[in-house]
Amino acid sequence: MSRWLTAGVAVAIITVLSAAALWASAPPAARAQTAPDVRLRETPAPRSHTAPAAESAATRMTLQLSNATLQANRETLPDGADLTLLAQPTYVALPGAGPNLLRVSPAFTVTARDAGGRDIELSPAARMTFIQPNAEGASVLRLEGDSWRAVPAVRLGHALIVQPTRTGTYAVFAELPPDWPLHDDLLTAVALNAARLVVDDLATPP
Amino acid sequence: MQIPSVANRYVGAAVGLTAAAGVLPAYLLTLAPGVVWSGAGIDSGDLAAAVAVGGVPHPTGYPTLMLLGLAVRAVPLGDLALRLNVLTALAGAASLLALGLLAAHLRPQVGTPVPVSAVAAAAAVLTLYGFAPLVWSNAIVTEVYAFASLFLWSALYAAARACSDAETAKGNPRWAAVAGVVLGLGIGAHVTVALGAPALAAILFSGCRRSRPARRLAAPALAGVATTCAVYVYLPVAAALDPPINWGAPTTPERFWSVVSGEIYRSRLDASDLGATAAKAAWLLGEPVRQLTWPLLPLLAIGGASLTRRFSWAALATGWIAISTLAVSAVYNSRDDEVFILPALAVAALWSVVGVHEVARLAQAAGAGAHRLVAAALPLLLIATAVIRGTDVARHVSMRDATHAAAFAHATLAQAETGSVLLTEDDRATFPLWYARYAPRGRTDVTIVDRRLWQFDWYRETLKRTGGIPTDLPPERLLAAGAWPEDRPLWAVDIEVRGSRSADVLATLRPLVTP
Repeated sequence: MSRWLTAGVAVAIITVLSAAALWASAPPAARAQTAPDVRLRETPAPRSHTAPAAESAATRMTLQLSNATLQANRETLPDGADLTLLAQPTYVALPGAGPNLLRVSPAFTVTARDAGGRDIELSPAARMTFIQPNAEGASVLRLEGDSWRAVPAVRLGHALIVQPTRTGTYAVFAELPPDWPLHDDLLTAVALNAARLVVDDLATPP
Repeated sequence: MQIPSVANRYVGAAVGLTAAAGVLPAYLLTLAPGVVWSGAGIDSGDLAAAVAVGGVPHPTGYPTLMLLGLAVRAVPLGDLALRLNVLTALAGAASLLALGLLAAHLRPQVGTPVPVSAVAAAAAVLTLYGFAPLVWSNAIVTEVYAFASLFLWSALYAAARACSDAETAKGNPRWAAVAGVVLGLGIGAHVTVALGAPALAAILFSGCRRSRPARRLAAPALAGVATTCAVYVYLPVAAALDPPINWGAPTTPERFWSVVSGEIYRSRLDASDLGATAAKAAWLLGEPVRQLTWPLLPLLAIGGASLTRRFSWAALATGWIAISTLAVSAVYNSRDDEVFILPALAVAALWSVVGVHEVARLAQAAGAGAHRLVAAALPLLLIATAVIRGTDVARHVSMRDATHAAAFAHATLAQAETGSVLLTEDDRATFPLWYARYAPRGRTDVTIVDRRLWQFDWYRETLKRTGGIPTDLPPERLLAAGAWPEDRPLWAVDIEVRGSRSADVLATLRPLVTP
């Protein structure tokens, strides 16, 4: 092969590759996952969600957590007003909370509405107490838009106590160090016990 | 002043080992701590879980990785997923050694010493390849592609060795057999390594043509491939032991073929939209430049031209690998289809290394001044590019903090009631949960059911035997009919992806109860 032909090959390679690198735009990413979504057999594919059962479960959990304390507080509300505490599905990691911050409790949503359906302020005496063993390494965050923001919390032994001055969604988060071992038992304990929520002194606004 | 040289026989090892030593610390510093959600490593949970139970991972089964994984499993040192990640990083670094060795056989003026400056420049080129985002991200978490690369390029190096002996004697059947054996292992790591078979044949038949030893070499090479393709026997043997991770349960010839041919993914091979396929192919063609950086482009071109002129069989063989893998990637549509171009990136790196040697040769021929200038400037430029590139890419590919998938699985299992059945519908939920469930000290009372796999007979059979749950109807339907066992609380695990980071995955546990 002559030197000119060799040079021609080199120029062709540069031209083609640089044109492709500069000109072409990235194709849209395919969505197919490892486990196939396509059906190859006759068994009907299960629905992607089971809304009726989920609704029922959420309702049941609401009732379970609307305990005697909550009921007593509700009785002090003006006629037509309502106070609810909804435990949303148990969870695990959320955007906006930080790269290693892990939500280790269900999200608890407090709503208080007057007879007209408008939000009402909670009493300054309202408290939410999260019981879990590593209060030192955990914090309570409130959902604001898509981000979780820390709220001031008082630590008393195994309890994390916050003053929910505003209605909204609260949850316990724990810092997860990068070298957190897979089988660490600490988080297990947090996750299991964080679900024990006690609501004290929820009352009507003055 | 005379520039020190590296003796001919050590050139490949010096280039490859230097590059491997350059990337390995970077790989280990950015290594995933376990199973992850991130794009390149999303299958890590499936692969690690399959190793943990001696099972069969998703098609095409990857028996070579499974066998290596079982060896790693026997080492009682740290978490199994982390051990597998370390093994992957070692394979990724070792693949640079294989490329360095092969490139040394394809350089101009084979048989002569090489200046240290050219060795350093060539090592920097391979390091840049190791720092390519696609290469790096597949070398720091359990995946098959680093192993496939290691075996593919080792096989071609062995074939080149068989032929290099052929030019002075009759060829070396032992190296040909080694080439076949290693290629077979590579096919067991990923079936696309089979695309290297024509390349290997081209090297043996064309590269050794002058001394006509091809027939003597073909038989041992074929025997080697046939011998190690036998690693696929692992699949039916493992499946027969009824592990809980048993994709396709390949215990019959039909099921075996379904797994090894990737039947369930065949529908993803689609080039019916010619415009979209062409656009994707054009994008992929530019990837070697984007991934390896622009400074390598002239070297790539010079190396390609050098190979075409001096070792046309090698240009043909490596060109085939690049084009065929680009084509596969262009017509295959999945979340990680770009990963199939990894061999094409390796070809670009290989040609660039040859380009370095060609530039060094041209400079030497041009006179002492040019030689000294190139000897000083080329390694400096390439090493600086590699350092800058490595520092930049590390931030984007690092999986050091990717603890969310393991944390999710751990917390989910921790919160599951005794005897729970967790319904999943996303790889991000299923695979980490599988690993956490089946790794040592997992929740043996919990069963994980992937709704997408329910459609397969083999999956329902496996669940019935290993999970102890009724499989006549999907769990939700049994629940609605009041026929679901009360001692198996049913939970749905929902996954919502809100961003590209591991922390952007929202996972939700939702209890399912009888309406």
